[in-house]
Amino acid sequence: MSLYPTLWAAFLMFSLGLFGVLSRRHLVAIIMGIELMFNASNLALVTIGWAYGVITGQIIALFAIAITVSEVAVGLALFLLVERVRKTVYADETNLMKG
Amino acid sequence: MFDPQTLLLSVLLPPFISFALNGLIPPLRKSKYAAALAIFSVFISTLASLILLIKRPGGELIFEWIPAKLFSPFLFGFFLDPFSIVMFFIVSLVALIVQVYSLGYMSEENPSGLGRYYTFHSLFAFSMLGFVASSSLLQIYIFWELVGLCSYLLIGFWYYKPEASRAAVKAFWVTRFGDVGFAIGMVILWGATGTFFLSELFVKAPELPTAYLSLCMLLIFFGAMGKSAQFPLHVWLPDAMEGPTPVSALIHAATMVVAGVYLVIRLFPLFQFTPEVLSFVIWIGSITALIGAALALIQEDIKRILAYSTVSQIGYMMAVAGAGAKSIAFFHLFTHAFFKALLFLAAGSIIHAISTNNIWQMGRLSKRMPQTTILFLIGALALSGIFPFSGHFSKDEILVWMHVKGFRIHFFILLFTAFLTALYMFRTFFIVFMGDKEAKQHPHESPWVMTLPMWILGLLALIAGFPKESLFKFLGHDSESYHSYIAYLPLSVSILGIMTAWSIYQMKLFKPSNVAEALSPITSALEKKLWLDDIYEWFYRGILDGLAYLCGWFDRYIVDGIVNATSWYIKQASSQLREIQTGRIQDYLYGIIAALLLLIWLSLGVFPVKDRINEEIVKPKDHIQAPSQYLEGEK
Repeated sequence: MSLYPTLWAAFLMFSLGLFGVLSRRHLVAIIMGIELMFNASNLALVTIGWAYGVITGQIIALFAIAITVSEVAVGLALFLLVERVRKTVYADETNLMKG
Repeated sequence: MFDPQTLLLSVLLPPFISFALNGLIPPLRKSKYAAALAIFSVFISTLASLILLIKRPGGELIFEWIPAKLFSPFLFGFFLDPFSIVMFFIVSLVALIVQVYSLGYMSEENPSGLGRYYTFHSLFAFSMLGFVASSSLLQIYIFWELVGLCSYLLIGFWYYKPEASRAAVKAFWVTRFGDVGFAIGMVILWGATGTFFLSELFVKAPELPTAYLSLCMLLIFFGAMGKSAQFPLHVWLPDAMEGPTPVSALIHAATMVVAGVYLVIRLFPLFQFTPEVLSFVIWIGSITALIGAALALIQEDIKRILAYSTVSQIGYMMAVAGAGAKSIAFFHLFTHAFFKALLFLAAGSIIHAISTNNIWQMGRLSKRMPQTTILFLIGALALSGIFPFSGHFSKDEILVWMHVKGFRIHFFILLFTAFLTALYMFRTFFIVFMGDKEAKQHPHESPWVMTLPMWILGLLALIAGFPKESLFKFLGHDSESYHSYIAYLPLSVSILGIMTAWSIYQMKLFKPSNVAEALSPITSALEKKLWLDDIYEWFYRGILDGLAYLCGWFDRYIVDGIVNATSWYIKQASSQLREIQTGRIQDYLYGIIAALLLLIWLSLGVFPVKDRINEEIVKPKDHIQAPSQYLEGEK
C-alpha cells in the first residue's frame, strides 16, 4: 500500500485549516481552522510512523491530541474574555497592536 | 611582630582606616571623636615609623592586588629604604604635631566642619606616607594625585570664602598642568621599558637613547615643578595660604610641596644619565630660590612671606638635587620640614590671637606673646641659617657643595638668596614682634594645646641639624668636610642680612621706601609678581578660551549635527515602517507562513549546508528519504 494517498489527505486538511485561519474573521472559526491543521499533522505523524514501522508517530499523535484539547480550552477561555472586554468576537476588530 | 611588613602596614593603614571610618560614618564625623580618631591613628603611624627608624630594615615589599601573573600595573610595591623611612618619620611626626595644634587653632569651627577637616587630614597622611614609600612609578603617580586632591580640599576648606575656593582651584590647575607632563613622561618610559617599577626602570632605562630618556625625565620634572612650586609654576603656593594655617604648615611647607624634590631624589638614578635635564633642574632651582626670596621681601601678609620663603627653600633643594647631591637635598628637606612648620604654626598662633594676616597691623607682640616670639625667632634663625640652628647645617652643605662642584653662578645666586632670606625673615620679625606701634587688638598667648606642639617643633628645629653625620651615613652619602673660607660665607651673609633688617626696620637708619624707590624697576616688577599671573591670565583668556570656543562650536554643530541627523532619519524611517503594523492577526500569519515556506524551500536543498560535525557538505534532501517500498506508487 502506498503512503501517498494518506499524506495527500493530510496535506489537503492542512491547507484547508490554513485557509480557514487566514480567511475567517470569527475567533471560533479561526480556532477551528487551527484544529484542522493539528489533525492534519496528527494524520501525517501516524502515517509516517506506520510507514517506518515504529510506534513513535502514534505516541506523538496521542500526545498532540491531548495537548490540542487543553490548548482549545485555553483558547476558548481567552476568547470569552476578549468578548467580555472588547465586546467583539472578530479578529480584525481586536487590533490593539496597530502601529 | 616587628617584621618590616607589619611595621609598614602599621605606618600606612591607621590613617586610611581613620579616613574610611570618618568618611563613611557621618555621625562619627560630626562627633568630637573624629579628631581623636585621626590623631590616634597618626600617632600609631608615628610610633611605627619611629620603630622603623630604629630598626632600619631594608628592601622592597610587593603586594599583589589583582593576580595577573606579575603584570606590573597590578602590583603594589613599597620601598623600605633610608629615604622612605626618614620621610615616614618626618611626615607622620609633623602630621601628628599639626593635628594636635589644629585642636586649638580650629576650636571655633563647628563639629561637622572639624570632622571634615580631620577626615581630609587622615586621607592626606595616608597618601603622603604611601607616596614616599611607593616603588612603582604608576603608584607614585596615584599617591601624587591623592596628595594633590587633599591639598585642593584643604585649601578650599572654607569653601564659602570666594578667595579660598579660587585659590583651591588655582592650586589644582597649576599642579595638574605639571602633572600632565609627569603622566606623559611616565607613559613614554613605560612604553619603552614595559615596566613601572623603579628597580627595573633603573636597569632598563639607561639603555634607552639619551635624547629619549632626557625627554621623559624633562616631562617628569615638569610634574615635580608643578607640585614643588618651582618657577614659573610657583604661582599657586602663595594663594594656597587661604587655607587654614595648620594646613599650610603641614601640606604647603613641610610635606606635600617637597614631593617634587622627593621625586627627583627617588628618580635620581635616572636623572643622572641626563646631564642636560639636571642642569635645567639646577637653573630652575636657583632661579626659584632667588625669585621666591625677592618676592617674600615685599609681601605684607605674614603667611605669604612664609609661602614665598618655602618656594625659595625648595628652590635650594632642587638646585642641589640637580647638582647631584640628593642626600644634601634630602637633609635640607628634613630640617626645612621642622623649622618651616614651626614658623607657620607660630604665624598661625599670631593670626589666631589677632585675626589678621597683615604684618603692619601687628607690632610689639613680644610683650603679649612671649612664647610665640621665642618660637618664631628659633624658626627665623634656623631659616636664615644661623649656628647652631638646624637650617645652618643644611644650607651650609648646599652652598659648599655648589661651590666645590664648580657651579659658580648658581653658588652666587644662592648665596645672595641666603642674604635675602635673612633680610626678609628678620624684616618680618622686627615688624611683627618688635616695632613701636602696638597691635590694635589685645593679643593673648595661645592655649597649651597650640604652644606644646610648637615647642616640640622648636626643639626639633634647634637640634635637627646635629645628626647630620649619622643621617648622611644612613643615606649612604660620604660627606666630605671642606674647611675653607667658603664654609663661613653663608653664615656671614646671613648675619649681614639680619643686620640690614635690624638697621632698616628696628633702628630706622634709612627708610624702606627710599630703598624701594632706588630700586624702582625691580620693586615694581616684584609688586606685579613678575607679571606671571597676568601672563597666565592672558594665555588663558586669549588662547585657551579661543580654543574652547572652537571646540564648543565643533561639538555643537558637527558632532551634535551628526547625532541629530541620525536620529531624525531613524524617526522618519520608523514612521514609514509603522504602517505595516496593522494589528490584524491574519496579516502577521501571512508573514509567518511566507517565512515558513521560504525555510522549507531552502531546506529542500537549494543551498547545500555544511555539516558542522562531520565537516562535509550535505544536501538536506538526503536525510528525508523514506524506505523505498512505500514510494513505488509515485512511480
